[in-house]
Parts: sequence; structure tokens; C-alpha cells
Amino acid sequence: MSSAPYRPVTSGRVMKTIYIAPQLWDEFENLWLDQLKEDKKASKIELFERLLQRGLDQQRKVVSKSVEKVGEYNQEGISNVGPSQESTRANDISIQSSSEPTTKNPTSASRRQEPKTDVMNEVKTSLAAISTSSKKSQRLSPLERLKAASDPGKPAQLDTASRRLAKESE
Amino acid sequence: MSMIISYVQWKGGVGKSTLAVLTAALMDAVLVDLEPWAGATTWWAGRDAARIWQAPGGSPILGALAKARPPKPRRGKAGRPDLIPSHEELLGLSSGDLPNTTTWAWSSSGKPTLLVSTPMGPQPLAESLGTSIKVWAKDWGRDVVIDTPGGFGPLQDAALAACDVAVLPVMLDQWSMPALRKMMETYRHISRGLVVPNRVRQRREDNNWSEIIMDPSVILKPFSLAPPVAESELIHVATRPLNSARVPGAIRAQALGQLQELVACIRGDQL
Repeated sequence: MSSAPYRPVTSGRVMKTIYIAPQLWDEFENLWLDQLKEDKKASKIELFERLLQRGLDQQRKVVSKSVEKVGEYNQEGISNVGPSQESTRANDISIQSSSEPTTKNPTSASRRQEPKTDVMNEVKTSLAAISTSSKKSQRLSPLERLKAASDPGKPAQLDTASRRLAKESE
Repeated sequence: MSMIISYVQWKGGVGKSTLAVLTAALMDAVLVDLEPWAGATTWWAGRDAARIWQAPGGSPILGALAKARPPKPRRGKAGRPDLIPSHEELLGLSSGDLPNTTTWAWSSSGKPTLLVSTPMGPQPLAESLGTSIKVWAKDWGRDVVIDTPGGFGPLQDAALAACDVAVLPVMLDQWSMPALRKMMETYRHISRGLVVPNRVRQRREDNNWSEIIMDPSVILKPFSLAPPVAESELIHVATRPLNSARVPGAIRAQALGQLQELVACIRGDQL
């Protein structure tokens, strides 16, 4: 997270569509109301932007760590670096553990104190729920796809010799 | 009692001829090659195949229908089954322009039908051939394996009308599986059918399709799933019969085992 004070991004802004589950929306409402009580002037949109900015910062940090590791690998060879726990964990951190402090960052302790840091978890849960529900509604299993593609609904009207002979023998 | 086994599949390239020639050899059956381009005959005769395919006497199958006498199988050597070979005349069947042999005509049901000459006058080819093969099998007193061309026509129709067991080879891929389902839907009235997954390979696509084909709703009655035949150089590429003495014993055991399982299933030993 950048330690600089929050500034709304206005230049070069591109419209995005974000889907939010009702629970997460409620969470934002409460967060916003809390902030209003504390006489802070951030609007709900600003709150969103701050949240997204925090997530992007976190991602950037993970990516830069990976880039560093690749650099080390290229310089020193695989035997010296190897798959460190840090690099493996970096992939798991992502947005989910935005509250987890990094020891070198002096601002991380204060970040931990911020209220509602589990909001990012909610974001992830919300997005996962949305993607699951859209998969359920749109994607067929391979078996269902095969049946949909090959079941004509009624036998093909082929006047076959085998059918005629079978009828005769009945 | 002799058994008639027909290898049929609308989709081409699934291994009908390959499995037909090898199982016919194992069963010591008479192999009937209905493929106009003589796939099984070529495998059987090697460099003599063209001479047999263009034999001056014409198609032994159409000749037998015309005379109402069973054709005489050619004796197979070195592990090959006895054969009623294909003939180039069969290529003319679809156009119906074989002089004095076949013609298209309107049937009593108002549909154009390919007719073939018989001692009883012109008869629909599919019915006439289907009925005749049953008679021939009795006369020979042996099992009969019929190899058919891909697609749908009177030759495949005749093979299905004659058979006790229809064997439908299928490759585990997106091209063969839908065709298989449609074919099974059309032929649900036959007495017995087997679906044989053929050329099964150790790869993800085949594994996925294996799971699908084993679902009870995929194979429609009266068809059932036969033991799969895994990709094998000896089965799918080799030019020699597996029971030929010239195939080294050590490497053919596994390939033979697969085909023997299939033959047992065809005979109903494992049902």
C-alpha cells in the first residue's frame, strides 16, 4: 500500500463494471456510515477506490517480489535460490492477505490497525461466488455437451433393411 | 451354430477394417469384405490385391446374389482368415449403373431403392444381401465377419440386417462420439450391439472420454460397452496377422490378449 495520502484518480479513468455480493455491499455501507460518524469526508466511491488501490498495491508488491526472485535466479543459478518459501507464499498472499504485514515496511504495523481489513477477503469471496454461479448457469459438463450435441430427440427416420426384416420376423 | 458379426460405423476411420480382419483371423471366421475400395482385401492379399479387386469374373458377392448360390471363400494363409473379397464393381453400386446387375427403381413404398438381379427377379440390395449372408453362413457352417465402408448405404444396411452382433468401433474423441450416439439411436431395434473404444491412448482427452463413455446413459440399449482396444503397433499398424508365425511371440502377447478379450465379448463369454 502506498503511504501517500489518498487521492482520487481522475485522469485517464476507465469505466469498469464490478459485481458485488449483497453482503459485501452491506459491509461497505457500514464502513461508510462509520466513517461518516467519525466526520470523515470520503464518499462511498472514494471508499471503493481506496479499497481497489490497496488491492493493486498489494498485487504490485507480490509481482515485484517475483521479479526480484527471477533476477536472482538468472544471476545465481537455480542451486543458490531454489523455490523459497517466500516466493511460494507470495502467490498465496495476493489480495486475500492484504492485512499481513511485511517486516521491512514501516507502515505495515499501522495498516494492521486499520478497521475492516477483512473487506478484501469479502471481495474475494464475493467474486468467487459470482464466478461459480455464472459457471453453473452457462457451462455444461462434457457429458451434457455430448448429449446436447448428439441426441436428436427421436430416432432418425431411416427406412433400413434391418428394421424392415426385423418387423417381418415379428 | 455360426455367428454373424458386422463391423459398422457411420463415422469413417475408427478401425472397422482393422478389427474385422484381426478378429476374423482369431475366430477362424469367413471374412466378407463389403468395402468397395477393398481395405480388408488389400490387407489380406498384399501385392495381389489389385488383381483380385479387378478379377474378370466380377464381384463374387453380386455374382452369388444373381445365382442364389453361396460364394466360395478364398483360402487364407499364414494366419489370415478365409475371404470373400471386394471387387471394383461395388464402386458402381451407389450410382446404380452396373450393367445387368443393379439399378435404382421406385419401391412399392414409393422410395427409390437400389435393386439387384436375383433368380427371383430384381430385389432390393440391402434385404437381398442381408438375407443371403445368413444363408451363406449356414452353408459354410462357420462364423462370418463382415467389414463395411463408413457412411450409410445399402451395404452397411445389409450387414446390419444380417448380423447377430453389430460391432461399432469408436475413437475416444469429439468427432466419433456424437456420431456413435446418433447411430445407436437409429439402430435400437437390432438384436445386439457392442461399442468398442479403439486406439485408446494414454492421454488426457482419451481419459476424459473414457469417463464419459462409461456413464450408463451414454451407451443405449441394445448396445453395450466392450473391452477397449489400446493403441498398439501390432494391431493398428502391422501388416501381418497377429497369429502369424512370423510375428515374434514376446511382443504380440499383449496385443493378442486385447483382441481375445474382444472376441470373448463378441461370443458372449463375458456377458
